Amino acid sequence: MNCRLAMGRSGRVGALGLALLALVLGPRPAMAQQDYPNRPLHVFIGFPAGSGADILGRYFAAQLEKLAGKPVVVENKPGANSNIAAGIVATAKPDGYSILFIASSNMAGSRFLFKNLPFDTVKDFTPVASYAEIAFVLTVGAKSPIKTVAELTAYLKSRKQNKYGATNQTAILSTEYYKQLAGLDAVHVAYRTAPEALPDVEDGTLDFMIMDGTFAVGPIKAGKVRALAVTTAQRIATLPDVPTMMEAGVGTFEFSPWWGVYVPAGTPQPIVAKLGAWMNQISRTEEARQFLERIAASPLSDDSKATAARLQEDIVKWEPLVKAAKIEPQ
Amino acid sequence: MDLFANLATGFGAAVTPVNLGFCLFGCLIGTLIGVLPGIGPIATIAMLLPVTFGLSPLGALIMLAGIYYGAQYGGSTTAILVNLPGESSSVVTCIDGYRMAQKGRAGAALAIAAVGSFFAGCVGTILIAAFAPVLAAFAVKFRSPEYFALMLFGLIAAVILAHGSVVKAVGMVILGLLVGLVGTESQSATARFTFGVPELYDGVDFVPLAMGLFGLAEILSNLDRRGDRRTAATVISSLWPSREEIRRAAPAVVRGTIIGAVLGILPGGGAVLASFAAYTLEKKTSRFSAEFGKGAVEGVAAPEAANNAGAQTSFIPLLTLGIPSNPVMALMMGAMLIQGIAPGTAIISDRPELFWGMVASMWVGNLMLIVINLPLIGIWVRLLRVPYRLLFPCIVVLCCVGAYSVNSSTFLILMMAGFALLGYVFGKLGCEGAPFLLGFVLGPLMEENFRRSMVLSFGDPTIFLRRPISLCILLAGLALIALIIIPQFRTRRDEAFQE
Amino acid sequence: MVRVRSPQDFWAGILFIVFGCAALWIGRGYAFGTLTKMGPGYLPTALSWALVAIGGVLTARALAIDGPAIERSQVMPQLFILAAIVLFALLIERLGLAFAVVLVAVTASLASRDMRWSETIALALGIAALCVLLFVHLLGQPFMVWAF
Repeated sequence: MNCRLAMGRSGRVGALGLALLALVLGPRPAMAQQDYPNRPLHVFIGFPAGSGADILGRYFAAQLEKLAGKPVVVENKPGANSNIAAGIVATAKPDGYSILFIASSNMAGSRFLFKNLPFDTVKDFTPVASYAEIAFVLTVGAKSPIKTVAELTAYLKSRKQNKYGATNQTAILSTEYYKQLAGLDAVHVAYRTAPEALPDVEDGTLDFMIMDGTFAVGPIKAGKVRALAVTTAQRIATLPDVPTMMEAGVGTFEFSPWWGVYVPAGTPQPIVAKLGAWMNQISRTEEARQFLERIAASPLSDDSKATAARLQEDIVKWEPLVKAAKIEPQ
Repeated sequence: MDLFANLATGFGAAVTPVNLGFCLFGCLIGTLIGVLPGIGPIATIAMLLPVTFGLSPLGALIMLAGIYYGAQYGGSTTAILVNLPGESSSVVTCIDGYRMAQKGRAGAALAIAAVGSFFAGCVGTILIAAFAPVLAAFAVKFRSPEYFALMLFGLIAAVILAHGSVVKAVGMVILGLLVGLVGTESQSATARFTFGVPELYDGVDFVPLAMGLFGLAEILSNLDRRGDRRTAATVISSLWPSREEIRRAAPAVVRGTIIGAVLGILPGGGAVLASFAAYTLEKKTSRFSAEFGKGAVEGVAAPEAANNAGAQTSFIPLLTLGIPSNPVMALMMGAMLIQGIAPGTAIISDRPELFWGMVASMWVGNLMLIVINLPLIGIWVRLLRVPYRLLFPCIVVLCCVGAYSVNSSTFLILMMAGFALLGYVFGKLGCEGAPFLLGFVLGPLMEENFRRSMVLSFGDPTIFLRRPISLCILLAGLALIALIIIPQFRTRRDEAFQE
Repeated sequence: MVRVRSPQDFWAGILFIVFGCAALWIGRGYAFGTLTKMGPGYLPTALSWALVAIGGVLTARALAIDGPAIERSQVMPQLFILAAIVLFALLIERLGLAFAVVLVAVTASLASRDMRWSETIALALGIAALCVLLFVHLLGQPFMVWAF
């Protein structure tokens, strides 16, 4: 080391000491509850920018910004089935500035799918509102001769090696549910995004795929894939001619993933009510309904209590499903 | 001919004052974020998505597209000036571009990059206009097995990229592969090498990695000597390339354009290979291959052309098949969904004014960008003459702010510091960053495609040999390995003879 | 006594071996699987071994063939830069963008031998103002600018 430098550095080391002092004495921003919001709101979405979930969330975030009067910043924290985003909000300050937009499949299902979750989806969160319900669509390639779910079931039963595609937990679980109800066997091929899987569905490399309604609509209308059924309890406005899984004869199959807003447990009730009222207001507009219809979704406007009840229903539904699908918790 | 009629429709739609305004806005913002370390087109476009709700579909898409290629131009600028790659595709430009800048040829490098990109952009636009459906049909043939073969080929090519020892380059590629595997593995949802840190669950982020390993490591090593390695020639360099440089760069631009155009169409990650492949081709086929790594002008011209050609053709899968080729295209698709345009419909036939308007605006955008960037060269070169002791703290600050802006996470900043130290150590040990980075980018894609191919074929490894395209690529890879090894034997024999 | 004839290659080899072993150790719990049904641990393990092997080759070669020496490091300048980056990470969320940038710019400048205080302070203030204008006002990034 150069000694000449060391000598002349005493003044510089002093400067460094000043910086460290600043660090120790550095004040932290104070919290204020009365005039919520008085700073930007942070919305955490557990999916990457540009995904169906993200587009949906960003629409609502943009509308929320108008009502709240302060910027609403969307932060994508994809990974681990939204567990990262959920984890961040679970441990954030319960002051109403950290908000989670998350799918029911994650909130209801994570507790059964992961062994060591650092948070509890019921105890560590306060539900605020629900805002959209999405349909998943069972699709096959357009060139395939299969036209109904019954035909698909018969076809799959007659073969040994079946493949299905899935990009997220909801798709995997609904497929496993279908397999269980129909008595089928098929192996799961993972893709990161629905568009990646599209060519493989189209040309029959994948035997079938249950995919996000948002991404299915385009290819269906373009004639590239055929929709055999939707997973919701009722037919959806975007695809009025497609029967539901129940109508198509698959027992009690019903999977209606919905999106909800959550804040950390302990957030003051007035803030929860205010935020919930805004979200419900947005869902009730005609513009929102039209926007959601384009992406094969329909609006929901539950308040905090109703959302909590919905979540509880889903948890009760998911537990036997996961066990029956024999999915090992991670 | 139909083509002219269509282009006329397109230009008619794109060259309105409003749409030109959107194009200019997009290009300016894109150039700005391309130059600024950290914040990139994905974050910017995602932020602007809500704004597009209220715009006309064509206007919205033109603006977002402008941001995308503006960022490409801007990213090359920092790669040449301060060894900071704006995107993974600009990494290759750092290799020779930065060395050219150090030799006082920054202006020439920037000019060649800009003009080469413009040429590539024009060709790209023509390709889209004339051949979009044909190219799309070719692109669709690429599935998991073909992508695996392509990624493997790319990794072999990465070794050629290095100008030092082959063994060390292989080691760096492997190390990059390992770092690329950090994160959650998709098929089994297992977290690998994440140490329980949430920010690592999705892998190491490219931005802190590149800024640390390239830009900051360069500063660390420059501080070991007085200022940086710029010669006195910086003061008297001219802004424009010499005739010799132009003569060498021109054919490189053409070759790069072809490579970029072809690889850019592939939805599964071909574009990232474009600049690397173009550089490798130039290095192996040039008379001046010894200059590569020290400031060869072809090493800037070809990758830059490849980049931009790839950026243009990467729109094809989206516009014709509804398949996004990269995260930016996924966002564009999001913007289209918001507008009620379901991609995957035959946009060419259903909404011709949209398709042709986009094509026309691509050319307009490229024109705007070259008009913006060429005059800026003078400013950039003057910026380089600022004494280094004032310049480097600014770079450090901008890198820090940029790293933080990725995710508002301080962990990324600390990770960047770690990579800066690592890059410094690599430099001292003669290990190169470019092969590492290529391994990092290609590794996870290669693994994913291999595993998916195995699942799809129910465990039959001959799937790669039964499909014609992947077989060809694998054979090309073998040829490439031979190309690497044979010269080694020849030099060994020569050494033996001398003794 | 075996002499290290190529220090750069030798230490590069050691670096590779260390990284390879570390990766093997960290990844020891991941399921391995087979080539056709690859588990998450397959590729990391294979690559780690390959890295160790390459490191071994390099180290061995470095004892036999001459090569360039490692250039000396000044150490202090590098420490100042790294300290500056770490400082930014620690300060940005406590003191806000403005103060963090000023302190970081000053700390980084300390790495240079030719540093002059008047210049540095002016530069620090300037780049702080630029960052605030650019990132917060122009690009709308949600940074905290001031601590209060």
